[in-house]
Amino acid sequence: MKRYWGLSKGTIMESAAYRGHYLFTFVGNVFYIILVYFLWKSIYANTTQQINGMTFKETFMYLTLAASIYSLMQTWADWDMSRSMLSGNVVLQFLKPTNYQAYKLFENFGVMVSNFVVLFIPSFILIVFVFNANINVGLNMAIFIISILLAYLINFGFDFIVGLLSFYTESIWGISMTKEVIVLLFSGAVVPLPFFPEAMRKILELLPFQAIYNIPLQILTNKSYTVVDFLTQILIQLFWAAILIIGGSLFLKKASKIITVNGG
Amino acid sequence: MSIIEIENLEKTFKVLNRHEGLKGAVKDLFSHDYKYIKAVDKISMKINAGEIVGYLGPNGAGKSTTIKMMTGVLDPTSGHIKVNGNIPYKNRRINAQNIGVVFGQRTQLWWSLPVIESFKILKMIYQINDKTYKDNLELFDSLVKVSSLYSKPVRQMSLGQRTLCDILAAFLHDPKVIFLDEPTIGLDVSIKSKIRMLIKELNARKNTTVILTTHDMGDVEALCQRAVIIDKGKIIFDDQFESLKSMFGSYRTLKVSVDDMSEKNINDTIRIIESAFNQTKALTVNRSEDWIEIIVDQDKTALTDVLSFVINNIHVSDVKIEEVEAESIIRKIYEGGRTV
Repeated sequence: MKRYWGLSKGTIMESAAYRGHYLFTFVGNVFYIILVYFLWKSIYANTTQQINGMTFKETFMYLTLAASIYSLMQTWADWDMSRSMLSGNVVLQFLKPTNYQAYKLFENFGVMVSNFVVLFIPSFILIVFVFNANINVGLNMAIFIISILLAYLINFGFDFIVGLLSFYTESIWGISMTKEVIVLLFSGAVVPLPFFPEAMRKILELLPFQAIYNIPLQILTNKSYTVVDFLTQILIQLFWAAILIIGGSLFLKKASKIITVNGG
Repeated sequence: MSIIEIENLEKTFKVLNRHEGLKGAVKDLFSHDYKYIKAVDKISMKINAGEIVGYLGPNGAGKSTTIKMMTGVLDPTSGHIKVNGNIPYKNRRINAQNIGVVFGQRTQLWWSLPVIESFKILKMIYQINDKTYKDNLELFDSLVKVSSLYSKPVRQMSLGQRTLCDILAAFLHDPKVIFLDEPTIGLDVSIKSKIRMLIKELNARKNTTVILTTHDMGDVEALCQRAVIIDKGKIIFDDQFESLKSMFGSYRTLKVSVDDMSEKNINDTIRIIESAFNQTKALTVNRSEDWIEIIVDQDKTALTDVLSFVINNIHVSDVKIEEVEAESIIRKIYEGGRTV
């Protein structure tokens, strides 16, 4: 375990070297928040009431916070893996006395931490103070952090599997985009889950995608949550994180044959 | 005591037969038409601890494939291999802890961080203890005065500085075996000699075994007591470097270019040079692209004689003198029928 912290530290420092990137991503996020505001304002224009049990303000909070979490999850593990596969640099990672999956996880964890500090916190502050969100302050904040970490594990689980797929396809664009759209749509990151038809929502709640966005968001904003709810949600996340990480490591055993048999 | 043992090692790649054109590309999507390429064909060798071995051969001879098998990132098709008592492809991670690898074309350093940060990350990855780490940094600095480079981000470095740091990074965890894959590729003479000195010193002080692949005979001459030459997957030479040197050492290539590069003029020029040194049989003259290539056997005639003859008798626009390349030596080994 101790071997890997250096990698996270390295990517945090590396992220800091690209300040411009963060500035523009943050500006992009602000524009996205403005877009969400006007889009949903017009959807709610003909009604002062709730749609699907959510007021305008609730919907807006939900989606902008989802956007902040989205910026957190963008660590590009899949792109990174595909690029190093194509360039052959993946060999360097296999030459280290480390497990490849753990290597990638900790490397990308560093990116996530940087995203948290540089993108998430400012967006969060903006949403809470400028748009005047009412977020419960209390135990849920601490649980939210745990939930975000687990959400990151699940997100990484997907990225890692998609990255391994690129070992076979030698290109990443198509699969990564497909993954991105599926995750964003099915997780409630662009349309809140209550807006989906009943039957579909029931299915989505059984899938791992909502554990990335919906669960942390509910933990942060849902005022009716009890301690039991918190625990259940965290357990659901733990379950999916374990499934995806174990799945990824089994897939890695198979996919690394591409390198060890064909020479990368 | 051998630190690397290789016996009847073989590696076959399965490659899709590609067809030409757009139609061919579509066909390839469904094709099961594979061919098998033997990249490494039943090679055996033993390398002792502390040796510096030059592992030579033309492009595509199987050098990198062998190295990848020794480092554990490639599974052999058959045969046995042991590095430092481990079977590399079975215990990749344990093996990785005991070896260091430098690819001249790639860098393991963190691109936008100062080098020292990369070193600190490696310190954690390899779990290097504080004392070893500190001692090594001191040693490195005493050998090549690099501490002034430590705060420079890798992307701002010249290729030579980066290669130097890459080599140091590979030595940082005191590996027992170091693989250097074309470490001096694309570097100028002064940094080349610095790198050679560094490798030699580190090998001597730490008794690190060094496997060096290169196309530069200068590297081999400066560093290796032993040379192994591989071609088409087979080892064709494995002996002291001295005995290899006797085969090519006396040869130099003199390259001459003339203003008038017409076929006729070149043939005339070649004839003039050949006839002048006819009786000694010291020269072979060929056209190679834009140059007239004269291979001179210095045992039979002095290079300076040939050079002064050429300059005095031919209207020369440019001249260069080169050492004989590894490829030509391999050709000579074949011609001489020498095998191991």
